[in-house]
Amino acid sequence: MRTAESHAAARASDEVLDGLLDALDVPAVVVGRDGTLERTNRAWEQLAHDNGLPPAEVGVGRNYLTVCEQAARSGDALASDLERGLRAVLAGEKSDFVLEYSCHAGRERRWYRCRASRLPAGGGALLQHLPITDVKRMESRLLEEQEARRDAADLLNEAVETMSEGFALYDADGVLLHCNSRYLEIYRPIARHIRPGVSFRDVIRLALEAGLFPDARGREAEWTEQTAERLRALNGEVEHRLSENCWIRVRVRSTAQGQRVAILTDISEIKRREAALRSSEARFRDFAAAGAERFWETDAALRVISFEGPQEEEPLPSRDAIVGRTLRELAAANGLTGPRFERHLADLEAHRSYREFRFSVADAGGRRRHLRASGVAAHDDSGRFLGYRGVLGDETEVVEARLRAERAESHLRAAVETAPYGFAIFDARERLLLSNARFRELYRLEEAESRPGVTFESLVRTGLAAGRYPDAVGREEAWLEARLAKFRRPPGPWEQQVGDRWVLVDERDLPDGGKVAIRTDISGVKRDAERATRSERLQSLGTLAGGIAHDFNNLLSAILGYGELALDDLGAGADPREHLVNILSAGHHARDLVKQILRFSRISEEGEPEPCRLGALVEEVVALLRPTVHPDVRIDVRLPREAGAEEATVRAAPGHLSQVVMNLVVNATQAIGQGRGRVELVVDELEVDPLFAERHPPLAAGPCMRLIVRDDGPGIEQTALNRVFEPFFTTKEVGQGTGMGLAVVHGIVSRYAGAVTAYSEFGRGAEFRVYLPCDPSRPAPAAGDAEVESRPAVPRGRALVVDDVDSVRGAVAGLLGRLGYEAVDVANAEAALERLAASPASFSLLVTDQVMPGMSGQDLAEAARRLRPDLPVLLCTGFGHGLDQQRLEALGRCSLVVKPFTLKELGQALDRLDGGDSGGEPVDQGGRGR
Amino acid sequence: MARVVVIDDNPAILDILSKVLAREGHEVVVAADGALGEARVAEAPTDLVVTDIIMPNREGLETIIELKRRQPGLRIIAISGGGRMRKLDVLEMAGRIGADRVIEKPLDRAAFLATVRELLD
Repeated sequence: MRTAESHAAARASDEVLDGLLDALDVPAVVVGRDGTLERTNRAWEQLAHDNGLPPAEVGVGRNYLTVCEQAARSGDALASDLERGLRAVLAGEKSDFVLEYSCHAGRERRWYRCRASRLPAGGGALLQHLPITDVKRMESRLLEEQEARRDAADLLNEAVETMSEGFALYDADGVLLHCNSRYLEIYRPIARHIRPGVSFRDVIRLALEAGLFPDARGREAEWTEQTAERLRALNGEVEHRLSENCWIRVRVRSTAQGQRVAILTDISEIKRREAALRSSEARFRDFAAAGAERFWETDAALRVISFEGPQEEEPLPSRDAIVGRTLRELAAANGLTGPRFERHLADLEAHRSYREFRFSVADAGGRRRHLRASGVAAHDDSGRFLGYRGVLGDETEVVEARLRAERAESHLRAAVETAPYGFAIFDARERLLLSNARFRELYRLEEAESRPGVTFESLVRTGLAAGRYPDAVGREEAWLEARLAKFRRPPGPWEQQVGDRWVLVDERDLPDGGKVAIRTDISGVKRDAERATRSERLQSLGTLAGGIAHDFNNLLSAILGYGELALDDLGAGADPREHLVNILSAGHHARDLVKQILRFSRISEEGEPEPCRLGALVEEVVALLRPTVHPDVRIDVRLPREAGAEEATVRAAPGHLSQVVMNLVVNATQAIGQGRGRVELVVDELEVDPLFAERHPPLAAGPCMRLIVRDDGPGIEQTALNRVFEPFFTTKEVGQGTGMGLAVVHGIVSRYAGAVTAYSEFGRGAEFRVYLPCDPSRPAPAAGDAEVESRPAVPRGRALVVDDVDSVRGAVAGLLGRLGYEAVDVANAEAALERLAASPASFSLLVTDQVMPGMSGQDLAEAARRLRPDLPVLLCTGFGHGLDQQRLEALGRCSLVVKPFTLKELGQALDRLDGGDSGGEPVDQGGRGR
Repeated sequence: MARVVVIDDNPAILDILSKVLAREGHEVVVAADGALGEARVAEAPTDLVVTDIIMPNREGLETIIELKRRQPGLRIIAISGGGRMRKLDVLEMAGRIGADRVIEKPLDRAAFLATVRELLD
């Protein structure tokens, strides 16, 4: 019953189920546990039909799993998935399984969702195929729309990102919607606070707090207000400085929806360029203001459009007269015409740049102004000519100064050119700067050989090559060396033979180290000197004749007088013997006188040079002169050679030597003039050292005879002393002498390679020294004579040399150097005492001239002794007078040396000091050390 | 008879002149230079002075000037052998400064004595 009932119930249930299934629009099947199709509904059958599947294939009783397996085996991936899912559900592994798939119904694509649901109580599964084509289409459309929207936003963002400007979008309330990374970068210090949702106000506040806007510092509220106001304006725009060199420009625009877009541009580069431009302009303004030049500019038509320059009281060309006119018009207006200006204007019209075009115009005051213009043709980027830009300088002062200098130089040149003597200037490097025609003519120099720039040496070499220096022939190089030494250390005027002429050479140092060379043609003077020598001799013979006549008349008076007295005696019967003896005596005197005259006439002949004994000759000349000299004047001759010693000879014409002696003695007696006086002649022999020789050309070092002629007349002033040997120089009244006496002495002595020096102390007398080389044929002097010279110079300490005459001081210092002293020379007593006071112990000798302005040598010696009690002192003096003997003795270690002295004499004087010789040795002039 | 002072630095001349004048009967005083001569003249009334020109110490010319200054009427004969001073005729100068007569050496006795007599008359 139960079963019947059950069957009935089951049948009823099946029917309900089928009805239920069929009621569904969805194709559905019930699958048994083994996959067998147990029930299908009408929608399923319809679907199968629609898909062309016969009911047998997918009808009840078929195993669905098998159907799916078969489809899967033919490559249907969907069938495979479905089979796997269904099995899982049937196996109870899953409660349900869903699979969406599509299939084509004709051209139409249809979508289904296949769902397998496990039936309760192991009843298999319900499999439904829900058509979802419409849903799928809707979904697909939605997806497409979403995708398109997303793409647009991305593009927009990307575009905004790629902007070089900062970009931010704020909504109408000022809240940030979006910004790009450039925006963040600009606000880097506060970037982490900037994100959508933050308000613009907060961004500004944070930026101010971070110090981003230096210009707002201290007035943040005001600044914020101003900025906001500016940005609110239509097309609001504001520039902000973010830091020293960083600027931004902020532009704010409103959208239609009331949103606000902020665009930030980095304008630092622009600002930098602007600043650079401003600074560059300022620099050029400064340059212009600092300079004296004016700046001008023209347009392409060469019309001046600007003319600027320093403010000037009286502007050179007035600005108004220039601006607006073309350069051609300006040239014409200022009378700047001619080929040079035409060429210049042509250059301008060809737009060629130019530098330093010089011209001159008259200014308002009529003064000639010298101008210098430079111009640059300016072009734009496309090469189009824009006009000239240039400067105009006023060089009137410079030009006038140059013209003055040129005029002065041309005057100087003209003066030098017209001078009767040769003239040349050499620079410090011995290069010729200028010479006159007379100079070139004297040395027979061609233009090319004597153009400025050639060295002195090359001038001399030119002369040497042409054989113009007779005394250089055969020893050119040695001669050249000596000549250059002389040029470098001019010894004062000297005579030079150039070809057949005689030239007086006078070279002097210039303050800049250069030399001025003056040449006087003295050929005529030389000839005159020859004549004067002869005339001088005739005159002196006349003097002698007068003297001799006087003596002779006295003798004749005696002879005649005594003769008459003898006759008287004879007439009166008296003895005339006494008178006859007197007659004989006078006769003998007369005979001697005649002999003397004859001897003198022999020695007074010029004759050929022969060995002469100077001492003997001096005695004879003086013997003859004595009667011609006033008896108040004593003439003493001293020949201080040892008795029996053979006197050295000098090689000369005796007549010349007698002339020298006579002229010097006559000069001395005339110097004494009226009244008592004394002329002293000393002849001695000495060794001339090289240093002395160097300073007294042409004298050479070696043995020589010396004649000293000294008088105690009024002396010669220093200025006159320098000129006593000049021809025709005389201090005597006109008619008292020829003025040639000493010049003749100089000429004769030079001829025999000797030297003559003059020394005088005004008011005390004068002294002339003649040095004549000993006859070289005579044996050399004993070795002892050269002892001083050959003595090696051992260091002997520092010597303080004091002399007011530079040349003497230098010479003494040089001699002391030879003797081993380190000489420190000063020009006066004050300077000497200063040096001595500074370091008294550093000096081992004081050498001082006796006669100096201010303090005398003796006074200086005494003052020096107070600073340094044991300091040896050497007094140099011309005569030895003016010295207080007692004071000299009180000084102790003090020695005298008579100027001018040789190295040997100086050495001997120093030896006396070294020997501890107490000072005050009698002043034995001339003959000391012999 | 007259007092005659003879001045000369040459002893032979002094000797001869003093003898010649003594033989004429004059009182003769001699001196070796001008200064001594002036002293001799001052010692006693003198009628005539015979003086050389060129002498040491005091020259004849100075002596003549001094003697004429003191005693303008004093007769003076200047004698000289010339020479010594170039281009200068000392006798002519002596004449110009006051010597009454000038005589060149060597002396001619007759002429000299004639002059002396003429001056003393």
